[in-house]
Amino acid sequence: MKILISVLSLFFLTSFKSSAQSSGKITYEIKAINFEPKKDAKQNELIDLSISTAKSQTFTLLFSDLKSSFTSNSGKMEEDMKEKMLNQLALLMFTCDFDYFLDISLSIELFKKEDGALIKNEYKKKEWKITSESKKIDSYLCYKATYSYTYLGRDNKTKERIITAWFAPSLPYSYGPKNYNGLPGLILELQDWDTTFLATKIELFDKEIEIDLPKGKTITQEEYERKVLSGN
Amino acid sequence: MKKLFFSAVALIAFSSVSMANNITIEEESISNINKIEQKRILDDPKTDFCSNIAADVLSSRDPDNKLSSVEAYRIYQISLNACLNFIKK
Repeated sequence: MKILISVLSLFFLTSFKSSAQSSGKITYEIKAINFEPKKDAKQNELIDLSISTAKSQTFTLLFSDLKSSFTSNSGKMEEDMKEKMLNQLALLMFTCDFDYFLDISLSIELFKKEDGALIKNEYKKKEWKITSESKKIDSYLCYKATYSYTYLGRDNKTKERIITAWFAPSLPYSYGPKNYNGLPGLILELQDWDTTFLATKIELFDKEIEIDLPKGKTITQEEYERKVLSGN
Repeated sequence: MKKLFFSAVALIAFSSVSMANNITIEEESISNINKIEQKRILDDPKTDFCSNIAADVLSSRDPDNKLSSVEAYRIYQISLNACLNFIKK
């Protein structure tokens, strides 16, 4: 009887401790960029430079209760204009050209673009297709999920983009890289077009961490697109 | 008295017209300077060269037109700026 009580106490203590870890900081690195310019393509040097810059970029996901942020760690170390532009190109072409902020309680998501624009959207949960395919990432058992959406390509034809995520149910936090979230576990690996993000450092905290949403004038996605395409 | 009154009115009217003209001339000068500057940039052979470079970067990155118009335009803009600032013809 004494042994049973001890085991039950240990179980409840562990559960309580796990649920008390309500915030975290995840570092993502670029695992792979599966892109090679065609041999007869021009400006390969600039593309190659952008790829190597992109591969060295890292990102930080912070989450706490009902808020999260995903931000680039580059842009803080650049010393000169050339480096800054190369970094910008790498973010645009290969990794992530925005910092992302989510407030689930207010149902809003904010995209802070690399050109300074702040786009505000109503947050809508993504419809992921969860599969039974699994693999281990580090020591975590992860399952594969996909999400797809259509958009208008620059040739005015409808395109489809498929995002592949590997999430760990043992890390019950519905967050991930970029604006991809809503799975029943932390996304440890995410493939978006040619680029794969990989969580390389996971820090979980018992205390809630402060996540500040950016302040300033916000515009809609439509207004942003109009602004960019008008050349302003 | 009447002559004096009408002279004053004429003087005020003339001054107002002159001032309005001055403002217009100043605005026109600024507009001309902008036009001259724009023409200088557009006529600069380096702009043509860099436009081609920016277009090449875009087509190298996206030969299958997978990018959206906005993404493509931003890549073009930044590639153009990078070329104008750093690449020697």
